[in-house]
Amino acid sequence: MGLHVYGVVSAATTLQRVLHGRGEAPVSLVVYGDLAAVVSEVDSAARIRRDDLLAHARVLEAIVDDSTVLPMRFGVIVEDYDEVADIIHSAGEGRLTTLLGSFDGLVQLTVKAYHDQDQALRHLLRERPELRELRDQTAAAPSSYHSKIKLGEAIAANLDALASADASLLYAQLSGLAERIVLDEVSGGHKVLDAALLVQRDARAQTDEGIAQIRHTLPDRLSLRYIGPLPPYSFVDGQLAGEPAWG
Amino acid sequence: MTVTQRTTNRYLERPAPSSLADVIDTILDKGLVIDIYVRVSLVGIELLTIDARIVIASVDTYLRFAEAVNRLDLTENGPEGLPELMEDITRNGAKHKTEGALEGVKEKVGEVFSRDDEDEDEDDSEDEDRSSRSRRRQSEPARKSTSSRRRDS
Repeated sequence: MGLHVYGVVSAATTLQRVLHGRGEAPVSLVVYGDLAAVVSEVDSAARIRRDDLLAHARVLEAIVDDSTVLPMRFGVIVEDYDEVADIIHSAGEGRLTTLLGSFDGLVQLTVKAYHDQDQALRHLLRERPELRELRDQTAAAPSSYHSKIKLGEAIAANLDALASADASLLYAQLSGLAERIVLDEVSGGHKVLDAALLVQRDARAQTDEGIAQIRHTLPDRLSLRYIGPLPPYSFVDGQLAGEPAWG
Repeated sequence: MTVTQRTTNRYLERPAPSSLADVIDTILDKGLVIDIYVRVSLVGIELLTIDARIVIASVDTYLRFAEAVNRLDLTENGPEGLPELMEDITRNGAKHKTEGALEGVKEKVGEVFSRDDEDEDEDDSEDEDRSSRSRRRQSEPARKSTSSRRRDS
């Protein structure tokens, strides 16, 4: 037996309904001082399945609907109920309480933007005559390996630049909608932007409208995904062990 | 599950619950860590991500980009016969076609985690539209080493 730890809430938190965690086990709160750990029983030797990852996320998403929760990274498992207290103790009850308080009433909403590759390429070819020229040269000599590489390289560089420009534009639009924004690294692929917005739970309607407006004016080459509400994953990126991870 | 339907049409937009790819993105590298209690080995995930980055910068990618622009019909606006690179990425369902290669790779990580649940996920309707069953099978040989993970072809 083991206990999977989903996150930490204030001791005053009550679960509004029965939640099921990993392996459908019921979720409970283990109170320690002013705090409580959100846990469910797991077989600590069990292999991690896709459903386990989803269960972790779903439990936290259900709690964040009406309460503030500090999310644990997946994988924190303790032996028994006594060890739950050790976790809170070793992380520092005071620090956790302060951190939890700093997110009071706030939720994370994540916005991810992606390039549609074809539309982005069309845009580049329209905007950049030198790329069209390169393309025409390549088409004229289809067997030329070198010219293809040269074209592909130029396209890759221009796509990167376009992605950065689009990301800056979106960031500027999004920054008016949040108390804080954290950008996660995007490197390569079609993802242009991965932004975590910290917003007041009560101000969600404005955020939704803001996102709708951004989506409305989005160029063809971009698509948005709007995800949440989530616990403040991107804002508690801290290692808690013996040493204070922040001041 | 967290979405409450409101009858007012004030909200033009509402956020969606996270998908498996989002979940992998967040819960495996964000959130509180109390490191002495991390009992699940997450070794390998960074390797996968790095691997994807290398692929993206490779000569092979340049060739694919060149193919993609050569096939592109500038007069057309809608999606057409998508070039190979897109096909690779869109294999996990049209709904998510704009997600990048990195997402795709991370999704594979999820499948690695779930290698034992082939027979028990009938109830998992949410992910079936991503045709994860067949993709899981495709990714089977790629599990042992990082060298063969390059997407298909």
